[in-house]
Amino acid sequence: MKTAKIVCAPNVSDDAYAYICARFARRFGAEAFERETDAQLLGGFVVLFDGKVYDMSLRTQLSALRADCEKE
Amino acid sequence: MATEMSAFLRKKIESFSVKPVVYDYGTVSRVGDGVARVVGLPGRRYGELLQFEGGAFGMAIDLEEDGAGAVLLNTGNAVSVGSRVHGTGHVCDVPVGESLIGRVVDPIGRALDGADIESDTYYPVERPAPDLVSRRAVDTPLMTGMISIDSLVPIGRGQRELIIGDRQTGKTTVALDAILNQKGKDVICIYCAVGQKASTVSAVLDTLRANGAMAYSIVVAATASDSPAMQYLSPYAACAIGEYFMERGRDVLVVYDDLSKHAVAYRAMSLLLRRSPGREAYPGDIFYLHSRLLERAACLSRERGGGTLTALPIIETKGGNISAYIPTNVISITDGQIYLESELFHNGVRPAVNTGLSVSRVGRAAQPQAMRKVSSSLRIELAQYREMAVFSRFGSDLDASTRKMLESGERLTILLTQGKNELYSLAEQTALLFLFKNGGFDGVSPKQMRLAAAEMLMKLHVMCPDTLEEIDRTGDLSDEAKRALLECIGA
Repeated sequence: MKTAKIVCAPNVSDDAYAYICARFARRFGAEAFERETDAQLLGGFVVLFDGKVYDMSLRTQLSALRADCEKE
Repeated sequence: MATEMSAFLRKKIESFSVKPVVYDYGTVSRVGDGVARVVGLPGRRYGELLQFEGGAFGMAIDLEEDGAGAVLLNTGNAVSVGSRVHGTGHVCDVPVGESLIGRVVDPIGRALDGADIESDTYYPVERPAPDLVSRRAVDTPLMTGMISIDSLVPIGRGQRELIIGDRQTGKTTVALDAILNQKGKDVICIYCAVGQKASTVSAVLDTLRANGAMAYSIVVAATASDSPAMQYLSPYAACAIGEYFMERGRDVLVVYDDLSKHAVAYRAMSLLLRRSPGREAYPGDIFYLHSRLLERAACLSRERGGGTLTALPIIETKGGNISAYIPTNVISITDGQIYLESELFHNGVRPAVNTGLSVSRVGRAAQPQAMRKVSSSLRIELAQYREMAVFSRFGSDLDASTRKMLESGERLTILLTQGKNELYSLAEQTALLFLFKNGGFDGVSPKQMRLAAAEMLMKLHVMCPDTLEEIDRTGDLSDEAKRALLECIGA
Protein backbone atom coordinates (compact mmCIF):
# COMPACT_ATOMS: atom_id res chain seq x y z
CA MET A 1 0.00 0.00 0.00
CA LYS A 2 1.40 3.39 -0.99
CA THR A 3 1.46 5.51 2.13
CA ALA A 4 2.05 9.25 2.20
CA LYS A 5 3.30 10.91 5.37
CA ILE A 6 1.88 14.39 5.81
CA VAL A 7 3.64 16.61 8.33
CA CYS A 8 1.50 19.63 9.13
CA ALA A 9 2.02 22.80 11.11
CA PRO A 10 -0.28 22.93 14.18
CA ASN A 11 -2.57 25.50 12.55
CA VAL A 12 -3.55 23.26 9.60
CA SER A 13 -7.26 22.45 10.00
CA ASP A 14 -8.82 19.01 9.55
CA ASP A 15 -10.61 20.25 6.43
CA ALA A 16 -7.35 21.42 4.91
CA TYR A 17 -5.71 18.09 5.80
CA ALA A 18 -8.56 16.20 4.10
CA TYR A 19 -8.16 18.37 1.01
CA ILE A 20 -4.39 17.66 0.86
CA CYS A 21 -5.04 13.91 1.20
CA ALA A 22 -7.62 13.98 -1.58
CA ARG A 23 -5.29 15.87 -3.93
CA PHE A 24 -2.41 13.45 -3.27
CA ALA A 25 -4.62 10.42 -3.77
CA ARG A 26 -5.91 11.72 -7.07
CA ARG A 27 -2.66 13.15 -8.48
CA PHE A 28 -0.01 10.69 -7.24
CA GLY A 29 -2.03 7.61 -6.31
CA ALA A 30 -1.44 7.68 -2.57
CA GLU A 31 -3.55 5.05 -0.86
CA ALA A 32 -2.99 5.68 2.82
CA PHE A 33 -1.99 8.69 4.91
CA GLU A 34 -0.13 9.27 8.15
CA ARG A 35 -0.46 12.61 9.89
CA GLU A 36 2.23 14.21 12.01
CA THR A 37 2.43 17.68 13.52
CA ASP A 38 5.59 19.78 13.59
CA ALA A 39 5.48 23.27 15.10
CA GLN A 40 8.84 24.13 13.52
CA LEU A 41 7.19 24.31 10.10
CA LEU A 42 5.53 27.59 11.26
CA GLY A 43 2.72 27.07 8.74
CA GLY A 44 1.79 24.88 5.77
CA PHE A 45 2.75 21.23 5.36
CA VAL A 46 5.34 18.77 4.04
CA VAL A 47 4.42 15.54 2.27
CA LEU A 48 6.80 12.59 2.04
CA PHE A 49 5.71 10.19 -0.64
CA ASP A 50 7.44 7.71 -2.92
CA GLY A 51 10.98 8.95 -2.21
CA LYS A 52 10.11 12.60 -2.75
CA VAL A 53 9.55 15.52 -0.40
CA TYR A 54 6.85 18.06 -1.37
CA ASP A 55 7.62 20.99 0.88
CA MET A 56 4.93 23.68 1.20
CA SER A 57 5.90 24.81 4.69
CA LEU A 58 6.10 28.45 5.68
CA ARG A 59 9.59 27.82 7.07
CA THR A 60 10.92 26.77 3.67
CA GLN A 61 9.12 29.57 1.83
CA LEU A 62 10.59 32.14 4.24
CA SER A 63 14.05 30.62 3.72
CA ALA A 64 13.60 30.96 -0.05
CA LEU A 65 12.49 34.60 0.38
CA ARG A 66 15.53 35.31 2.54
CA ALA A 67 17.85 33.72 -0.02
CA ASP A 68 16.20 35.84 -2.73
CA CYS A 69 16.72 39.03 -0.68
CA GLU A 70 20.35 38.15 0.09
CA LYS A 71 21.11 37.87 -3.62
CA GLU A 72 20.78 41.67 -4.00
CA MET B 1 17.58 54.03 5.09
CA ALA B 2 14.73 52.36 7.02
CA THR B 3 12.22 53.52 4.41
CA GLU B 4 14.37 52.14 1.62
CA MET B 5 14.68 48.84 3.44
CA SER B 6 10.95 48.47 4.03
CA ALA B 7 10.24 49.40 0.39
CA PHE B 8 12.76 46.79 -0.73
CA LEU B 9 11.19 44.11 1.48
CA ARG B 10 7.65 45.04 0.36
CA LYS B 11 8.72 44.77 -3.28
CA LYS B 12 10.34 41.40 -2.65
CA ILE B 13 7.30 40.01 -0.81
CA GLU B 14 4.90 41.22 -3.48
CA SER B 15 6.93 39.68 -6.28
CA PHE B 16 7.61 36.45 -4.38
CA SER B 17 5.69 33.49 -5.78
CA VAL B 18 4.90 30.60 -3.48
CA LYS B 19 6.01 27.36 -5.11
CA PRO B 20 6.28 23.89 -3.61
CA VAL B 21 9.87 22.77 -3.09
CA VAL B 22 10.20 19.21 -4.37
CA TYR B 23 13.25 17.05 -3.88
CA ASP B 24 14.27 13.42 -3.47
CA TYR B 25 14.84 12.01 -0.03
CA GLY B 26 16.26 8.84 1.40
CA THR B 27 16.12 7.18 4.78
CA VAL B 28 19.01 6.10 6.98
CA SER B 29 18.90 2.32 7.27
CA ARG B 30 22.17 1.81 9.18
CA VAL B 31 24.52 4.14 10.99
CA GLY B 32 27.64 3.70 13.07
CA ASP B 33 31.32 4.67 13.38
CA GLY B 34 30.89 7.75 11.22
CA VAL B 35 29.31 5.93 8.31
CA ALA B 36 25.64 5.83 7.27
CA ARG B 37 23.82 3.70 4.77
CA VAL B 38 20.95 5.44 3.03
CA VAL B 39 18.06 3.78 1.24
CA GLY B 40 16.44 5.64 -1.62
CA LEU B 41 17.84 8.96 -2.77
CA PRO B 42 18.21 8.25 -6.51
CA GLY B 43 20.33 10.40 -8.85
CA ARG B 44 23.10 11.25 -6.41
CA ARG B 45 26.58 12.21 -7.56
CA TYR B 46 29.83 10.75 -6.26
CA GLY B 47 31.11 13.03 -3.53
CA GLU B 48 27.83 14.93 -3.20
CA LEU B 49 27.09 16.50 0.17
CA LEU B 50 24.04 14.99 1.85
CA GLN B 51 22.08 16.75 4.56
CA PHE B 52 20.63 14.65 7.34
CA GLU B 53 17.61 15.48 9.42
CA GLY B 54 18.92 17.47 12.37
CA GLY B 55 21.55 19.33 10.35
CA ALA B 56 24.39 16.81 10.08
CA PHE B 57 26.23 16.56 6.77
CA GLY B 58 27.67 13.55 5.03
CA MET B 59 29.37 12.80 1.76
CA ALA B 60 28.11 10.14 -0.65
CA ILE B 61 31.04 7.94 -1.61
CA ASP B 62 29.32 4.66 -2.42
CA LEU B 63 26.56 4.84 -4.99
CA GLU B 64 24.32 1.81 -5.46
CA GLU B 65 21.10 1.10 -7.29
CA ASP B 66 18.93 1.25 -4.19
CA GLY B 67 20.82 3.74 -2.07
CA ALA B 68 24.13 5.25 -1.09
CA GLY B 69 26.87 4.87 1.48
CA ALA B 70 27.87 8.12 3.12
CA VAL B 71 30.56 9.21 5.52
CA LEU B 72 29.50 11.67 8.19
CA LEU B 73 31.46 14.89 8.33
CA ASN B 74 30.36 16.06 11.75
CA THR B 75 30.29 13.32 14.33
CA GLY B 76 28.70 15.57 16.96
CA ASN B 77 25.27 15.67 15.32
CA ALA B 78 23.03 12.73 16.04
CA VAL B 79 21.97 10.69 13.02
CA SER B 80 19.66 7.78 13.74
CA VAL B 81 18.08 4.97 11.79
CA GLY B 82 14.99 6.29 10.04
CA SER B 83 16.37 9.86 9.73
CA ARG B 84 15.58 11.55 6.46
CA VAL B 85 18.41 12.54 4.11
CA HIS B 86 18.43 14.72 1.05
CA GLY B 87 21.07 15.67 -1.46
CA THR B 88 22.32 19.25 -1.59
CA GLY B 89 23.34 19.10 -5.24
CA HIS B 90 26.83 20.32 -4.30
CA VAL B 91 30.02 18.36 -4.01
CA CYS B 92 32.14 18.97 -0.93
CA ASP B 93 34.00 22.27 -1.30
CA VAL B 94 36.36 24.47 0.65
CA PRO B 95 36.86 28.25 0.82
CA VAL B 96 40.01 29.41 -0.95
CA GLY B 97 41.83 32.71 -1.32
CA GLU B 98 44.21 35.17 0.26
CA SER B 99 42.12 35.34 3.44
CA LEU B 100 43.29 31.84 4.35
CA ILE B 101 46.94 32.82 4.61
CA GLY B 102 48.04 32.69 8.23
CA ARG B 103 44.98 30.68 9.24
CA VAL B 104 44.32 27.21 10.61
CA VAL B 105 41.29 25.50 9.09
CA ASP B 106 39.65 22.09 9.05
CA PRO B 107 39.11 20.16 5.79
CA ILE B 108 35.80 21.85 5.08
CA GLY B 109 37.23 25.31 5.63
CA ARG B 110 35.97 26.07 9.13
CA ALA B 111 38.38 28.19 11.11
CA LEU B 112 40.09 26.42 14.00
CA ASP B 113 41.88 29.51 15.24
CA GLY B 114 39.16 32.06 15.88
CA ALA B 115 37.29 34.33 13.49
CA ASP B 116 35.39 32.86 10.53
CA ILE B 117 37.10 32.64 7.16
CA GLU B 118 35.90 35.38 4.83
CA SER B 119 35.97 34.15 1.27
CA ASP B 120 33.61 34.36 -1.69
CA THR B 121 35.44 31.69 -3.65
CA TYR B 122 34.98 27.98 -3.06
CA TYR B 123 36.78 25.12 -4.80
CA PRO B 124 35.57 21.51 -4.81
CA VAL B 125 37.99 19.42 -2.77
CA GLU B 126 38.18 16.83 -5.55
CA ARG B 127 39.34 18.42 -8.80
CA PRO B 128 40.92 16.97 -11.92
CA ALA B 129 44.69 17.28 -12.22
CA PRO B 130 46.03 19.73 -14.84
CA ASP B 131 46.20 18.07 -18.25
CA LEU B 132 49.38 17.40 -20.24
CA VAL B 133 49.16 20.52 -22.39
CA SER B 134 48.86 22.75 -19.33
CA ARG B 135 52.13 21.54 -17.88
CA ARG B 136 55.78 22.33 -18.46
CA ALA B 137 58.95 20.64 -17.25
CA VAL B 138 60.17 21.40 -13.76
CA ASP B 139 62.89 24.05 -14.11
CA THR B 140 63.04 26.14 -10.95
CA PRO B 141 64.58 24.92 -7.70
CA LEU B 142 62.74 24.84 -4.41
CA MET B 143 65.55 25.25 -1.94
CA THR B 144 65.04 23.55 1.41
CA GLY B 145 68.03 25.12 3.16
CA MET B 146 69.39 21.65 4.00
CA ILE B 147 72.71 20.85 2.27
CA SER B 148 72.15 17.10 2.12
CA ILE B 149 68.84 17.57 0.31
CA ASP B 150 69.64 20.55 -1.91
CA SER B 151 72.89 18.96 -3.07
CA LEU B 152 71.97 15.27 -3.36
CA VAL B 153 68.18 15.10 -3.77
CA PRO B 154 67.27 18.54 -5.13
CA ILE B 155 63.61 19.47 -5.36
CA GLY B 156 62.13 21.50 -8.18
CA ARG B 157 59.01 23.64 -8.03
CA GLY B 158 56.09 21.50 -9.18
CA GLN B 159 57.78 18.25 -8.17
CA ARG B 160 56.39 15.53 -5.89
CA GLU B 161 59.09 14.40 -3.50
CA LEU B 162 58.24 11.80 -0.90
CA ILE B 163 59.69 12.03 2.60
CA ILE B 164 59.78 8.50 3.96
CA GLY B 165 61.11 6.89 7.10
CA ASP B 166 60.29 5.20 10.39
CA ARG B 167 58.73 7.12 13.25
CA GLN B 168 61.01 9.56 15.04
CA THR B 169 63.43 10.00 12.17
CA GLY B 170 62.75 13.69 11.56
CA LYS B 171 60.27 13.54 8.66
CA THR B 172 58.10 16.40 9.92
CA THR B 173 61.19 18.43 10.82
CA VAL B 174 62.53 18.13 7.25
CA ALA B 175 59.15 19.24 5.87
CA LEU B 176 58.89 22.11 8.35
CA ASP B 177 62.43 23.26 7.61
CA ALA B 178 61.52 23.29 3.92
CA ILE B 179 58.57 25.57 4.80
CA LEU B 180 60.70 27.83 7.02
CA ASN B 181 63.25 28.20 4.22
CA GLN B 182 60.58 29.71 1.93
CA LYS B 183 60.52 32.92 3.97
CA GLY B 184 60.83 35.88 1.63
CA LYS B 185 60.76 33.66 -1.47
CA ASP B 186 57.12 34.28 -2.43
CA VAL B 187 56.08 30.67 -1.94
CA ILE B 188 52.75 29.96 -0.26
CA CYS B 189 53.15 26.99 2.08
CA ILE B 190 50.39 24.67 3.21
CA TYR B 191 50.89 22.19 6.01
CA CYS B 192 48.25 19.49 5.96
CA ALA B 193 47.96 17.37 9.09
CA VAL B 194 46.19 14.03 8.70
CA GLY B 195 45.40 11.95 11.77
CA GLN B 196 48.11 13.64 13.86
CA LYS B 197 47.78 14.16 17.60
CA ALA B 198 46.39 17.61 18.40
CA SER B 199 49.50 18.26 20.52
CA THR B 200 51.74 17.49 17.51
CA VAL B 201 49.81 19.91 15.30
CA SER B 202 50.02 22.50 18.06
CA ALA B 203 53.81 22.06 18.22
CA VAL B 204 54.02 22.50 14.44
CA LEU B 205 51.99 25.69 14.71
CA ASP B 206 54.28 27.00 17.46
CA THR B 207 57.32 26.36 15.23
CA LEU B 208 55.71 28.12 12.27
CA ARG B 209 54.63 31.08 14.40
CA ALA B 210 57.95 31.37 16.24
CA ASN B 211 59.79 31.56 12.92
CA GLY B 212 57.39 34.01 11.30
CA ALA B 213 56.27 31.40 8.77
CA MET B 214 52.53 31.86 9.30
CA ALA B 215 52.77 35.06 7.24
CA TYR B 216 52.94 32.87 4.14
CA SER B 217 51.48 29.60 5.43
CA ILE B 218 48.13 27.88 5.86
CA VAL B 219 47.50 24.90 8.13
CA VAL B 220 44.78 22.39 7.24
CA ALA B 221 44.24 20.02 10.12
CA ALA B 222 42.22 16.87 10.69
CA THR B 223 43.55 15.41 13.92
CA ALA B 224 43.30 11.86 15.24
CA SER B 225 40.10 12.78 17.07
CA ASP B 226 38.35 13.84 13.85
CA SER B 227 36.23 11.38 11.90
CA PRO B 228 37.89 9.21 9.23
CA ALA B 229 35.91 11.22 6.67
CA MET B 230 37.56 14.47 7.75
CA GLN B 231 40.98 12.81 7.69
CA TYR B 232 40.20 11.45 4.23
CA LEU B 233 39.23 14.92 2.96
CA SER B 234 42.13 16.80 4.52
CA PRO B 235 44.81 16.36 1.78
CA TYR B 236 42.32 17.04 -1.01
CA ALA B 237 41.17 20.22 0.71
CA ALA B 238 44.78 21.37 1.23
CA CYS B 239 45.49 20.68 -2.44
CA ALA B 240 42.40 22.65 -3.55
CA ILE B 241 43.51 25.61 -1.42
CA GLY B 242 46.96 25.39 -3.04
CA GLU B 243 45.50 25.14 -6.55
CA TYR B 244 43.81 28.51 -6.11
CA PHE B 245 47.21 30.16 -5.76
CA MET B 246 48.86 27.99 -8.43
CA GLU B 247 46.21 28.97 -10.97
CA ARG B 248 47.05 32.60 -10.26
CA GLY B 249 50.69 32.13 -11.17
CA ARG B 250 51.98 31.68 -7.62
CA ASP B 251 54.33 29.02 -6.28
CA VAL B 252 52.89 26.73 -3.65
CA LEU B 253 54.42 24.09 -1.40
CA VAL B 254 52.07 21.53 0.19
CA VAL B 255 53.20 19.13 2.90
CA TYR B 256 50.93 16.11 3.48
CA ASP B 257 51.74 14.82 6.95
CA ASP B 258 51.14 11.94 6.54
CA LEU B 259 49.65 9.79 3.80
CA SER B 260 50.07 6.54 5.79
CA LYS B 261 47.45 7.77 8.23
CA HIS B 262 45.38 8.99 5.29
CA ALA B 263 45.42 5.46 3.84
CA VAL B 264 44.46 4.03 7.23
CA ALA B 265 41.52 6.46 7.52
CA TYR B 266 40.37 5.49 4.04
CA ARG B 267 40.69 1.81 4.90
CA ALA B 268 38.53 2.34 8.02
CA MET B 269 35.90 4.14 5.94
CA SER B 270 35.92 1.49 3.24
CA LEU B 271 35.62 -1.40 5.66
CA LEU B 272 32.75 0.32 7.45
CA LEU B 273 31.09 0.80 4.07
CA ARG B 274 31.52 -2.96 3.56
CA ARG B 275 33.68 -2.65 0.47
CA SER B 276 35.72 -5.72 -0.39
CA PRO B 277 39.06 -5.65 1.43
CA GLY B 278 42.19 -6.36 -0.59
CA ARG B 279 45.87 -6.55 0.39
CA GLU B 280 46.42 -5.55 4.05
CA ALA B 281 42.61 -4.94 4.12
CA TYR B 282 42.99 -1.81 1.99
CA PRO B 283 40.28 -1.35 -0.65
CA GLY B 284 41.01 -1.89 -4.34
CA ASP B 285 41.26 1.83 -5.15
CA ILE B 286 43.93 2.68 -2.56
CA PHE B 287 46.49 3.46 -5.29
CA TYR B 288 44.07 5.84 -6.99
CA LEU B 289 43.45 7.54 -3.63
CA HIS B 290 47.00 8.87 -3.63
CA SER B 291 47.71 9.05 -7.36
CA ARG B 292 44.81 11.40 -8.01
CA LEU B 293 45.95 13.61 -5.15
CA LEU B 294 49.62 13.78 -6.12
CA GLU B 295 48.89 14.21 -9.83
CA ARG B 296 47.45 17.59 -8.89
CA ALA B 297 50.98 18.80 -8.09
CA ALA B 298 52.13 20.52 -11.25
CA CYS B 299 54.35 23.05 -12.91
CA LEU B 300 51.91 24.97 -15.11
CA SER B 301 52.82 26.26 -18.55
CA ARG B 302 53.48 29.98 -19.07
CA GLU B 303 50.14 30.23 -20.92
CA ARG B 304 48.40 28.96 -17.80
CA GLY B 305 50.17 31.52 -15.63
CA GLY B 306 53.30 29.51 -14.81
CA GLY B 307 52.26 28.70 -11.24
CA THR B 308 53.56 25.62 -9.48
CA LEU B 309 52.36 23.29 -6.76
CA THR B 310 55.10 21.26 -5.12
CA ALA B 311 54.01 18.29 -3.02
CA LEU B 312 55.98 16.84 -0.14
CA PRO B 313 53.98 13.81 0.98
CA ILE B 314 55.19 11.99 4.08
CA ILE B 315 54.99 8.24 4.60
CA GLU B 316 55.81 6.45 7.83
CA THR B 317 57.40 3.03 7.47
CA LYS B 318 57.51 0.21 10.02
CA GLY B 319 60.91 -1.23 10.86
CA GLY B 320 62.51 0.47 7.87
CA ASN B 321 60.43 -1.58 5.44
CA ILE B 322 60.07 0.65 2.40
CA SER B 323 58.76 -2.23 0.31
CA ALA B 324 55.44 -2.41 2.20
CA TYR B 325 52.19 -1.80 0.32
CA ILE B 326 51.51 1.92 0.85
CA PRO B 327 55.20 3.02 0.73
CA THR B 328 55.78 1.29 -2.62
CA ASN B 329 52.55 2.78 -3.99
CA VAL B 330 53.56 6.32 -3.09
CA ILE B 331 57.20 5.77 -4.15
CA SER B 332 55.95 4.80 -7.60
CA ILE B 333 53.67 7.84 -7.81
CA THR B 334 56.18 10.48 -6.73
CA ASP B 335 59.20 11.91 -8.57
CA GLY B 336 61.64 10.68 -5.97
CA GLN B 337 62.03 10.10 -2.27
CA ILE B 338 64.06 11.32 0.68
CA TYR B 339 64.64 8.28 2.83
CA LEU B 340 65.35 9.05 6.48
CA GLU B 341 67.02 6.25 8.39
CA SER B 342 66.70 5.49 12.11
CA GLU B 343 70.32 4.37 12.48
CA LEU B 344 71.66 7.58 10.95
CA PHE B 345 69.28 9.62 13.10
CA HIS B 346 70.48 7.93 16.29
CA ASN B 347 74.11 8.42 15.20
CA GLY B 348 73.47 12.16 15.14
CA VAL B 349 73.28 12.54 11.34
CA ARG B 350 70.42 15.02 10.90
CA PRO B 351 68.61 15.23 8.60
CA ALA B 352 69.12 11.45 8.58
CA VAL B 353 69.09 11.20 4.79
CA ASN B 354 70.16 7.84 3.43
CA THR B 355 71.85 9.05 0.28
CA GLY B 356 71.88 5.59 -1.27
CA LEU B 357 68.13 5.09 -1.15
CA SER B 358 67.16 8.73 -1.70
CA VAL B 359 66.64 9.98 -5.22
CA SER B 360 65.18 12.95 -7.05
CA ARG B 361 64.06 12.06 -10.56
CA VAL B 362 63.40 15.54 -11.90
CA GLY B 363 65.06 17.88 -9.39
CA ARG B 364 68.51 17.75 -11.05
CA ALA B 365 67.10 19.67 -14.02
CA ALA B 366 66.08 22.45 -11.66
CA GLN B 367 69.21 22.47 -9.51
CA PRO B 368 71.10 25.81 -9.59
CA GLN B 369 74.32 25.73 -11.62
CA ALA B 370 76.38 26.64 -8.56
CA MET B 371 75.11 23.63 -6.64
CA ARG B 372 75.48 21.35 -9.64
CA LYS B 373 79.16 22.34 -9.94
CA VAL B 374 80.01 21.48 -6.35
CA SER B 375 77.80 18.46 -5.73
CA SER B 376 78.39 16.26 -8.77
CA SER B 377 80.75 13.82 -7.03
CA LEU B 378 79.26 13.95 -3.53
CA ARG B 379 77.05 10.88 -3.89
CA ILE B 380 79.97 8.69 -5.04
CA GLU B 381 82.24 10.00 -2.29
CA LEU B 382 79.64 9.23 0.34
CA ALA B 383 78.92 5.78 -1.09
CA GLN B 384 82.66 4.95 -1.12
CA TYR B 385 83.02 6.20 2.44
CA ARG B 386 80.07 4.10 3.68
CA GLU B 387 81.41 0.99 1.97
CA MET B 388 84.91 1.55 3.28
CA ALA B 389 83.60 2.32 6.78
CA VAL B 390 81.89 -1.07 6.91
CA PHE B 391 85.09 -2.91 5.91
CA SER B 392 87.28 -0.86 8.25
CA ARG B 393 85.37 -2.31 11.21
CA PHE B 394 86.98 -5.68 10.57
CA GLY B 395 90.61 -4.59 10.75
CA SER B 396 92.78 -1.89 12.19
CA ASP B 397 95.62 -1.99 9.66
CA LEU B 398 94.54 0.63 7.17
CA ASP B 399 96.81 2.21 4.62
CA ALA B 400 97.22 5.96 4.49
CA SER B 401 94.96 6.55 1.49
CA THR B 402 92.12 4.51 3.03
CA ARG B 403 92.48 6.37 6.30
CA LYS B 404 92.39 9.65 4.41
CA MET B 405 89.24 8.63 2.59
CA LEU B 406 87.55 7.59 5.82
CA GLU B 407 88.43 10.85 7.53
CA SER B 408 87.25 12.85 4.55
CA GLY B 409 83.99 10.88 4.42
CA GLU B 410 83.40 11.43 8.09
CA ARG B 411 84.02 15.15 7.71
CA LEU B 412 81.64 15.29 4.74
CA THR B 413 78.95 13.46 6.70
CA ILE B 414 79.28 16.00 9.49
CA LEU B 415 79.24 18.88 7.00
CA LEU B 416 75.90 17.58 5.72
CA THR B 417 74.55 17.51 9.28
CA GLN B 418 72.43 20.47 10.31
CA GLY B 419 70.51 21.34 13.45
CA LYS B 420 66.74 21.78 13.53
CA ASN B 421 65.69 25.07 11.89
CA GLU B 422 69.36 25.80 11.06
CA LEU B 423 69.09 26.56 7.37
CA TYR B 424 71.69 27.62 4.82
CA SER B 425 71.25 29.82 1.79
CA LEU B 426 72.32 28.61 -1.65
CA ALA B 427 75.52 30.63 -1.42
CA GLU B 428 76.40 29.25 2.01
CA GLN B 429 75.80 25.68 0.88
CA THR B 430 77.79 26.17 -2.31
CA ALA B 431 80.68 27.84 -0.53
CA LEU B 432 80.92 25.13 2.14
CA LEU B 433 80.89 22.31 -0.41
CA PHE B 434 83.33 24.10 -2.71
CA LEU B 435 85.77 24.75 0.11
CA PHE B 436 85.39 21.17 1.33
CA LYS B 437 86.34 19.88 -2.11
CA ASN B 438 89.29 22.23 -2.25
CA GLY B 439 90.86 21.30 1.04
CA GLY B 440 89.30 24.01 3.17
CA PHE B 441 88.57 21.50 5.93
CA ASP B 442 91.58 19.19 5.53
CA GLY B 443 93.16 18.37 8.83
CA VAL B 444 90.10 19.31 10.85
CA SER B 445 89.20 16.54 13.26
CA PRO B 446 85.65 15.21 12.81
CA LYS B 447 84.75 16.35 16.33
CA GLN B 448 85.69 19.93 15.43
CA MET B 449 84.03 19.82 12.03
CA ARG B 450 80.70 21.47 12.95
CA LEU B 451 82.47 24.28 14.74
CA ALA B 452 84.89 24.68 11.84
CA ALA B 453 81.99 24.91 9.36
CA ALA B 454 80.24 27.55 11.47
CA GLU B 455 83.46 29.55 11.77
CA MET B 456 84.05 29.24 8.04
CA LEU B 457 80.61 30.66 7.33
CA MET B 458 81.21 33.58 9.67
CA LYS B 459 84.53 34.24 7.98
CA LEU B 460 82.93 34.15 4.52
CA HIS B 461 80.19 36.57 5.56
CA VAL B 462 82.81 38.98 6.88
CA MET B 463 85.45 38.60 4.17
CA CYS B 464 83.54 38.02 0.97
CA PRO B 465 79.88 39.04 1.40
CA ASP B 466 79.76 40.24 -2.23
CA THR B 467 80.72 36.78 -3.51
CA LEU B 468 77.98 35.15 -1.45
CA GLU B 469 75.49 37.73 -2.66
CA GLU B 470 76.53 37.08 -6.25
CA ILE B 471 76.05 33.30 -5.92
CA ASP B 472 72.59 33.79 -4.41
CA ARG B 473 71.63 36.30 -7.11
CA THR B 474 72.94 34.47 -10.16
CA GLY B 475 72.63 30.88 -8.91
CA ASP B 476 76.04 30.26 -10.45
CA LEU B 477 79.57 29.83 -9.17
CA SER B 478 81.83 31.82 -11.48
CA ASP B 479 85.60 31.40 -11.74
CA GLU B 480 85.96 34.76 -10.05
CA ALA B 481 83.77 33.62 -7.16
CA LYS B 482 85.82 30.45 -6.85
CA ARG B 483 89.01 32.52 -6.63
CA ALA B 484 87.46 34.80 -4.03
CA LEU B 485 86.40 31.85 -1.88
CA LEU B 486 89.85 30.26 -2.09
CA GLU B 487 91.49 33.57 -1.21
CA CYS B 488 89.24 33.81 1.78
CA ILE B 489 90.69 30.61 3.25
CA GLY B 490 94.19 31.60 2.21
CA ALA B 491 94.58 28.82 -0.36
